[in-house]
Amino acid sequence: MAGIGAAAVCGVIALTVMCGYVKGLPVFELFTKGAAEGMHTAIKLLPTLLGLIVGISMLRASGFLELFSALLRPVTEVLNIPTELMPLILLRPLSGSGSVSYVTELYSAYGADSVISRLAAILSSSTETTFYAAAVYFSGRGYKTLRYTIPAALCGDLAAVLLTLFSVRLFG
Amino acid sequence: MLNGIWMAMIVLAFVGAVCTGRWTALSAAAADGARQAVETVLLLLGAMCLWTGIMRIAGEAGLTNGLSKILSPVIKRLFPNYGKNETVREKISMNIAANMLGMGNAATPFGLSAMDEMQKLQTGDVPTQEMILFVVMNTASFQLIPSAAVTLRASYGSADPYDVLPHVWLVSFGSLLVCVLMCRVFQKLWRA
Repeated sequence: MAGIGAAAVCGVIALTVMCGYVKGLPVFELFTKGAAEGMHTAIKLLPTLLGLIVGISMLRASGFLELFSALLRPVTEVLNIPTELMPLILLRPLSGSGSVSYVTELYSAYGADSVISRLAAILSSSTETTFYAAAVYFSGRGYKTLRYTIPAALCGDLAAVLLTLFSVRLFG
Repeated sequence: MLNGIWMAMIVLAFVGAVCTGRWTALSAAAADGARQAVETVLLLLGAMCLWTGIMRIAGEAGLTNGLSKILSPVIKRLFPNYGKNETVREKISMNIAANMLGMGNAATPFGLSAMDEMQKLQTGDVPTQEMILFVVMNTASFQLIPSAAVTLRASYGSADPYDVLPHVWLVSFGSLLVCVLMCRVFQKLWRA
């Protein structure tokens, strides 16, 4: 079942090209026209992403996330959140590759089937990299404000943390 | 908003380094982040061109039209001001379908073109409620098959790498609902 995503990708490409060709469309010309449009959108993202990724990378390297997790310990104890999960909770909305590497660290330290690793797996695949997504979708559009985008998205991330703990505690 | 967030990240990184003394790591991280950003954009550039190209063929062949008909009841409800526009509806449906199938690389290009179309219809210096809802939904992203997580667990010797799937469905669907709900709440309360 892990191959379903990959199979879907291949299937969608093959099916689309075949359907287009059968309908007598100039498939290759259409493809290149569409690709040219995509190129402009992607290139425009570089300045925004560069600024954001530099900021996140600095934040991770400085050790701030570990300090902050330690500071939040009273809160996490009340909510019964395992201490090892805290850095992942803070990292997940900021950095996709960063959270994958933290999850791998948990897997090798505690084993892939331990409770902590299962929590990490569920949490990391149930949410997206919030700040990255918001930056990508809104960059280069010239908006002065993103209004409630980040607060609403972070409420979703918080809900994911609580639901993960709830789901594993309830259903094992 | 991004001004404040960005400033906070950099200042907090500085504060962190004052406490931990990791100055060398911090300065390396700034350069490393810049390199990573270029790599990310190059990866996205490839995916973007590939999928906008394929989407163009699918559009002309009438395939996206079919998909958007299936999803249109949901889309019209969530995005009432854009739901009647066929181009926007098609692109939103492609984004939703790609997200659900775990085609992460394809979901972003589809989503970005949906945003382009929505912006074309409504110019201004503030994003519309629907654009915000669409982005917030993409920061939650409901996945049926989290293939990356399953593969990673399998490679670390999990006895049953799929056993987290029901949890992932519950959590990602639940958080998606919270996102939609919070957008509804905030759009009433938020000023400016």
